[in-house]
Amino acid sequence: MSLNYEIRVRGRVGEHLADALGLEAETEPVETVLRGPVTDQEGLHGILEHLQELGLELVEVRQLPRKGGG
Amino acid sequence: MSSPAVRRAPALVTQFAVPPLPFGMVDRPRLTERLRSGLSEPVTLVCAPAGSGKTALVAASVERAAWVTLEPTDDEPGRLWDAVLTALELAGAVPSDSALAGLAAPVRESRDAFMPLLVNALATLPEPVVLVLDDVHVLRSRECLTQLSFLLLHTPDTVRLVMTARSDPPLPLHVLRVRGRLAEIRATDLAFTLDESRELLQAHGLELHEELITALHGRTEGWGAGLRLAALSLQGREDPETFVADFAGDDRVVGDYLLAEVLDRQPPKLRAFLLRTSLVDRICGSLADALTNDGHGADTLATLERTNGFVLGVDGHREWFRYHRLFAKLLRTRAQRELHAELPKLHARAARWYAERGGCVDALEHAVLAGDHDLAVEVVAGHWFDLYVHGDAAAVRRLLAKLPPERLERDAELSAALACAALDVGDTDSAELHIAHAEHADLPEPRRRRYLEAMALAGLGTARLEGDFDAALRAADDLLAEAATHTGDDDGAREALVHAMLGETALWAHDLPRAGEELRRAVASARAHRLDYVAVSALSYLALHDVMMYGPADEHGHGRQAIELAERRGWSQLPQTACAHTALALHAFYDLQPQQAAEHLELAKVVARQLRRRHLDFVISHLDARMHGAAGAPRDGLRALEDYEALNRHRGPRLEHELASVAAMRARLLIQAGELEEAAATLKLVEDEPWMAVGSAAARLALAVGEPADAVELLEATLSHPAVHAVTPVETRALLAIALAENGEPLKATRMLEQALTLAEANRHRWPFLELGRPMEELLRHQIRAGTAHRAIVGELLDAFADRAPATRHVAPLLEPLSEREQAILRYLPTALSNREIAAELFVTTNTVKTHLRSIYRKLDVARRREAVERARDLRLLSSRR
Repeated sequence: MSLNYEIRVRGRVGEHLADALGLEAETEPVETVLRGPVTDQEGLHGILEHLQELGLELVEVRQLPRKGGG
Repeated sequence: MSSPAVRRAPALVTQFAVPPLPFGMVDRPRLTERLRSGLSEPVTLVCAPAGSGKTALVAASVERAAWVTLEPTDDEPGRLWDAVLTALELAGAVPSDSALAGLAAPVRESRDAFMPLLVNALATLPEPVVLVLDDVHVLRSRECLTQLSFLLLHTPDTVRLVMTARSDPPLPLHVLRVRGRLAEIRATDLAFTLDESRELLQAHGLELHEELITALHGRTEGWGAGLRLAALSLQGREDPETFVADFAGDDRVVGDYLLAEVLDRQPPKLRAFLLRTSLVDRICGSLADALTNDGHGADTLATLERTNGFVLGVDGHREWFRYHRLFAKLLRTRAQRELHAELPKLHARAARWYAERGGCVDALEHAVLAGDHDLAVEVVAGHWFDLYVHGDAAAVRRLLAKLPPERLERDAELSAALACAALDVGDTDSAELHIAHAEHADLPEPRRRRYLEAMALAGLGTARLEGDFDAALRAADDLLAEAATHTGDDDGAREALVHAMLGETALWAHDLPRAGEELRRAVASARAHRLDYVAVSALSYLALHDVMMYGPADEHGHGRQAIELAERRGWSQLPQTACAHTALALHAFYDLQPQQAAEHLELAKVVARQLRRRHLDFVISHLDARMHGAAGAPRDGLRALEDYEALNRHRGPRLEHELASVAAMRARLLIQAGELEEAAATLKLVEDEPWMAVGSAAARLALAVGEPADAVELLEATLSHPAVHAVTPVETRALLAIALAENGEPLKATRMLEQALTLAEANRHRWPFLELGRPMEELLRHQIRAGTAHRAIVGELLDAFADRAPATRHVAPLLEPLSEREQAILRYLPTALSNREIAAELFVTTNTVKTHLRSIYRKLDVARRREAVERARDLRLLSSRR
C-alpha cells in the first residue's frame, strides 16, 4: 500500500516536473511542496534521486499521516 | 590478451575515454592543483551535486588515466570489473606480460577470489596509474560496494584511485580519513568564485557589467551548471540586463528556469532535435538521424559541442556525444510533457537502431520503454546466447524479467533460453516449466534452427542435473539433426557450447570415444572464438576423458591447461575446474605420486562442493576410497563411500555403472579390512551387474578365502565384461596371473601376465602390479627369466618394488587376513617339517599345502618360507591364536 509523502524543495518548479514524478505541486513563495503517493522506500529514493539529478535543493521530506486515523 | 571488443559492441565502447573538456571550460588552478596534490593519497573523492563540474575538474587535472564512466548497468561485479580492466588496458597501463593482462572479470563463483588477484596484479604494474571511477553513486549492489571497499582499503602504491559521486558513497571512507589516506573535494570547493564566474561567462563570449556578473553568481550560488545555462541563454541576447533582472527576481528553481530560457531561444528544429535525442544516454549522428528522421545529426552534434557546454564529446574523435546529465534530465522531463504521444515511437526507433548494431542491453531497455514487446522478444532472442556463452546467464534472466511473463511463454525460443538459464543455476523445476512452454509455443521459420539448438542444450542441461545421459544424448542428436536441415547462421560460439555439452553428456553416458571427439571440437571452437569460459569447462572434461581412456600415459595435459587458463582469468574457484583436478588426481595416483594425487583430490573436493553434481562427486569419492585403501586405511575408504551415499541418496539417479563400481570398491576395502562375510554380502547385491570391476572384486574374495580355482574362473569370465576405466583391464589380468600361479598353472599365469604388461606398456598403469605385492614381484622376476617382450616396464616395476620394500615389510599391515586353514599351516612353518610332512599332519595332499602356501606368501607379501616366518612374527601371527 502506498503512503503519502510531502517533499519540499527550494525554489519554484514547473508542473511538468511534478507530472513526471506523479506528484501534485503546490508553490509557496520560495519553496515548492510536492505531495503524493509513493509505493515504497525504493520509490521514494527514486524520486529524491530524480530531484537531485535536476539540481534541486531538498529542504524537507515528510510522511503524511494516513487519512481517517483519529 | 583479453579484448574489450569481444564483450562490448565496438561502436558502443564510449565509456573509457577521458572526456574532452566541454566548450566554455575555464581553468580553475586552485582546484586542479588541489586535485593533483591530492593524488599523493591513494584515494581521492570528488563529491558534489549534479552540475557542479566534478567530471570536468578531474578530466582537466589528470593527464593520463584509466577512465571509467560508470553507467547504472555497471552495478554488477562482472560488468564493473570488466570495465575497470578494459579501461586499464586502453590506458596502456598493462604490459602484455603483466598478471593483469590475463585477468578477466569475475564470473559468479570466482568473485571472492577476484579482488585479491586484482590488487596483487595492480601492485606489480611497472608504472603508477590513475584510475578514475566517474559517478560511483550508480553502484548500489552490496557485492559491488564490498568489492570496491576492498580495493579502497588495499589500494597498492601503483594505483591512485579517483572517484566522483553526487553523494557520499557507502564505502569505508571514514577508515581512510582516519588513516589520512583520503583527499576530498566537495560542493563548497567546487562552487565558482566570483572571479571564476566572470571567466566562465567570458569564455562563452559574454562581456557583462560587473553588477550583472555579481547578480548571476549570487542567484546561482556559484553552481557551475546554473552559470553555464545562464551563459547559453545570454548568448546573442541584446538585452542581458533584462534577462539577469528577470532571472534574479524569479523564485523558480535555477535549472528549470534556465532550461526553459535556453530551449525557448533555440530555432524550432534544433529545439525538436534536443528533446528527441535526449531520450538516449549517448548519441551519435546516425542514432540522432534515426530519432529525428533528419540527415544532419552528425553536423548538428558537432556544432552543438562547439557552442554548448552541455553537449560533450565522449570518444575524442567526434563521433559519440552525450548531454551533460543534468541537461539531459531537464530535457527528458520536458520531452515527457511535450512529446508525450510520440515517445513510444521514438523509443522503438532507438531500440531498432541499437539492435541492428548489437547493443543488446540498450535495445531491450528502449524496446521495453516503447512498450513494444515483440521487438523486446526479438532483441533478447537474438542475443541471449552471446550473454549465456560468456558465463552470464544471470544477465539473460535479468533482461527477460523486464518482459511480461505471458509474452515470454508465447515465444518458443525464449522459453528454451529461459530453461537453459534456469538449469545454469540448478533450478530444474522452472526449467521444466519453460521447456513445456517452449514445446507448445509457435515460432517463425527463420528462428527454427536456433530454437532447436536451444532445446538440445536445455535437454543436455537437464540430464546434467537429473542423469539419464543416454536418452539426453539421443534426444539432442535428433534435435541437432533437425536443426541442421533449417537455414541459419553458423555461429561459432553456439557450436562451441553445443559440442561442450554433448561431450560432457557422452562422458557421463560412458561413450568415451564420442566424448573425446565432441570435447576436442568444443575446445578448438572455444579457442577460436575466445570463449575462455567454455574452454575451461571443455578442457576439464577432456582431461577426465583422457585419464579414463588412456591412463596416466596421457601427455596432452588438458587438465593442467584448464586450471592454468582458469587461474589466469581469476576463475580458480570456477566449479568446472573440479573435473580437471579430479583428472589430475587420478593421473597422479596412477603415476605413483600419491602426495600430488592427494593435493588435487582435496582441491577437487572443495570446488565440487559448490557444483554438487552427483556423478562428479561419485568419481571423486571412488578415487578417495581407492586412495585410502592404497594407503592401508580401508576403513577410511569405506567411510568415504558411505558419506558419498548418504549425501546423494536423494540426489537424482545414479550413473549406470555406479552401483557396481561402489559395491566392487566396497568389497575390496572390506576384504582388506578382513570383513570377508560382509564383502560377500556386498558383492551378492551386484552379482548380476556385468561390469569387470564386480568380477574382479569377487575373485579377490575367492583368493582371500583360499579358493584360487574359483578366482580363476571368475576372472576369466569377467574379462569379456565392460570396464569403466582403463585401469580395470590391467588390474583384472594382473590379478588373474596371480590366481593362475596360485592355482598351480604357471604357464597360463605367464601368458596372462604378458597380456597385462602389454596393456600397461600402452597406458602406463603400474599401480595394479605394485598393489599385488611380493607374489607379483616373484612373478615378474620369473617373467624376465621366461623371456618377456616388456623388459622395460618389468624392470621399472621391479625398481618400484625395491623402493617400496622396506616400508611394506615392516609397517604395512596384512594385505588380507589368513583363512583358518592357512593359519593352521602357518604354525608349521617355523618347524623343520617338509611340505609333505605338513600334508600328512593335516590329512591333505602335498599339492593342497603348496596352494595354501602360495596364498599365505601372497597375503604376507613375501616370497619364501623363511621370510614368511619373519613377517608372521612381526605381525604376531604365531604367538597367539586369534
